[in-house]
Amino acid sequence: MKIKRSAIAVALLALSLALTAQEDTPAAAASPLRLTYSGPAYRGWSARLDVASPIMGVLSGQVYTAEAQFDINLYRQLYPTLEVGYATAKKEYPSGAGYRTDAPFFRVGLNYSFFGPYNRDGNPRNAKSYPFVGVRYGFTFMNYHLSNIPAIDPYWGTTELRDFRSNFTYSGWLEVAGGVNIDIANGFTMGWAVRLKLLVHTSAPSTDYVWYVPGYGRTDATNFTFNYTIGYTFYSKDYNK
Amino acid sequence: MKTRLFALLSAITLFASCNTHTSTCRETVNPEVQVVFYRVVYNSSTEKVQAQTYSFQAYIQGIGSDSILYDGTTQSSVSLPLKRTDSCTQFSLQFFASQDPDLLLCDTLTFVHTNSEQFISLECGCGAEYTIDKATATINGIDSIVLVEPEVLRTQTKTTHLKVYIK
Repeated sequence: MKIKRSAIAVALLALSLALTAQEDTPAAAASPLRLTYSGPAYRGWSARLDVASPIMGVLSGQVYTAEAQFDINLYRQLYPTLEVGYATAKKEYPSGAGYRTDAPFFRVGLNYSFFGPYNRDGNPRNAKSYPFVGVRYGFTFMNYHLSNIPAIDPYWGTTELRDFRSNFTYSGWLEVAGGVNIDIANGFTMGWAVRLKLLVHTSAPSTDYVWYVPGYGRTDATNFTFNYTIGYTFYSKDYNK
Repeated sequence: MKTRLFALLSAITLFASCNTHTSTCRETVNPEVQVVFYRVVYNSSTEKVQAQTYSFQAYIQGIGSDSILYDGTTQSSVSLPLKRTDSCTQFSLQFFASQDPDLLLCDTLTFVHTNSEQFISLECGCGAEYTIDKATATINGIDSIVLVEPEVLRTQTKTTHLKVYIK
């Protein structure tokens, strides 16, 4: 069921990107003129707030996340990205067993715009709205606390409760992202992105110990997440040239 | 039009990103000692003695527990749970002598073991694993025992830890 939903989401993303490309640039195919770009590398920077994560946290009642994204426009096509955030997660079972974590998290990576710096006719595109794909490496130094974990011996009739606590546990993951950023008016932007995440390492004894990793998500499921952002772009003074 | 399309796709994608999950534990939490019973018999065709698995009516109970593990059902192998909170576990084993069905024999199996615990998951709690340091038995109806595998692990399946030879 989960795989089916993910496939639907990926298909919708591809459809969205295709529609966007068709509306904005009828001839969005790669142009050899892209290689002749000779303008300044720096074309502006953007700051965005993710508004989807806090809402999803409120809906789940278990995870609260706030995150901001910063990127730099280079060559009108590449967007080195830094994302910072803070997450708290709390999970409790009726048995009393619980998991709690809170930590800042960071992601560094790069977005690639499907819209190059020039149109096919060689004129600057100056696109302020663009579809993109990107990659990220995310990491966090997290504290976690597993509390009231039952150690049950059903035959001998004993039950004891255990606690596991760790500070400064390092976890890292990879992400593949795709989405759109849209300049609504005068630099104010909105955008969305979907992400597929893969936890690659943790310094916890095993991934079983970290039910939720801040910035990554739950470790017992494939993480397919959604960001909806609002923000502002500070274009370079000669952006339109 | 474009904004509406984005809003629609965003809402659908949000739905697709939800995960379903269960809170049922499907892991082995408390592994047990697998004991297989044997009896040495003389094979007239090969003119050799050989050990064969031996099925018999076993009454087994942990010493210190009120619960009976096996209540006279015919068994050739049994699973015995070690104590998680102690390093010594004993079981009482009663069965009728093979040569005399009216003679009830009683033996005690003793395991001295080292315990270790691991966190499995929030659903399962903590799991246990054991290392059997020593296994002994009284010899009223038991002839001998052989500790085959001292490690009792959660990941093991169908591993024989102890062979018990019945007289």
